[in-house]
Amino acid sequence: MKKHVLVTLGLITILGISCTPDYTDLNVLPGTTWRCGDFLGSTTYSIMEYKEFKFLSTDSVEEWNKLKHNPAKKRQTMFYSLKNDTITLFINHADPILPLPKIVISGRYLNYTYRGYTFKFTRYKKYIIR
Amino acid sequence: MKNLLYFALAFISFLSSSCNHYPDFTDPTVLSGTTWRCNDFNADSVYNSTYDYFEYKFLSTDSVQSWTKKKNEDSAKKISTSYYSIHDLFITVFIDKADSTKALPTIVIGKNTLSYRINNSTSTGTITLVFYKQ
Repeated sequence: MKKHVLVTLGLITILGISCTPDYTDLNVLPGTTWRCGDFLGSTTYSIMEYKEFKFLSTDSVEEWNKLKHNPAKKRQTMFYSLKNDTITLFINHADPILPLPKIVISGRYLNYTYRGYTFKFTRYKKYIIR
Repeated sequence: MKNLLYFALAFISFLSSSCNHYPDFTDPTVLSGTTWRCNDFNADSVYNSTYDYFEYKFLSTDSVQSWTKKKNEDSAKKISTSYYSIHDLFITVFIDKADSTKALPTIVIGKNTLSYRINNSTSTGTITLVFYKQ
C-alpha cells in the first residue's frame, strides 16, 4: 500500500515537472503574466501588494504595480531580450533605469533582482468559473 | 431593518477603505508638483546646527530641484535642478539627462515619505533623511 502511494506521488511529481513549459524558449513567454506578491518581509516593499510583468510579444513586456489600497497601475512598457535563462529589460534612453533590473528564469519561477532585492515571480493565470 | 443594517455596514467599509487610501507617489504624474522637506537630521549635530531643512521640489514628471535652508541665512537656496526616473519604489536622480551613469544616491518612496541616505557629517557612517510632503 505504502509503495503504491510512493509510486503515485513520484508519478505526479514527474508529470508536474514535465508539464512545466520551457520559459527560456522565446516563443513561450508572450501572452504570459507573472506576479510577485511576497516581498519577503521587506520594509521598503511593504507598501506594495503585488508587481506583475505581462509579456506582450517576443520583445515587449508591460510592468504593472499594485500598491496597497490603490488600483493596479501600468508603469511602463519595456523592451526585453532573452539570452539563455536571463531576461534583460531595456527602457528608452529618455527614461533610464540605473541599474537595470535583471530577471533569471528558473523552472516555473522568474527571479527578479533590482537594487539588491531579489523576488520570485510565479505565472499568474486568471481562471473564470462560468 | 435588515436593509438598513446592510447599508450601514457597506457605508462603514466604504469609509474605512477611503481613509486607507494614499497617493501613489511611484507615479511621476502624482509626484510632479509636490514638495518634500526634511528638517530632522537624525541627531547629526553638524547638520542639525547648520541646516533648517533640505527640500525636493518635483517640477515635472522628470525634473526635480534640490533646495536647502541654512540656519544663518534668511531664505532657502536652490542647489540644483536634476532629472529623475522612477522604477519600483526607487527614484534615481541624474545630474545629466544624457548620461545615466551620473546618478546620485537613490530616494526610496514610502507610504507617505521619501527617504534618502547620505554620509554623516564626519563621514564615519550614514544617516537616513526622511522627507515629508509639504
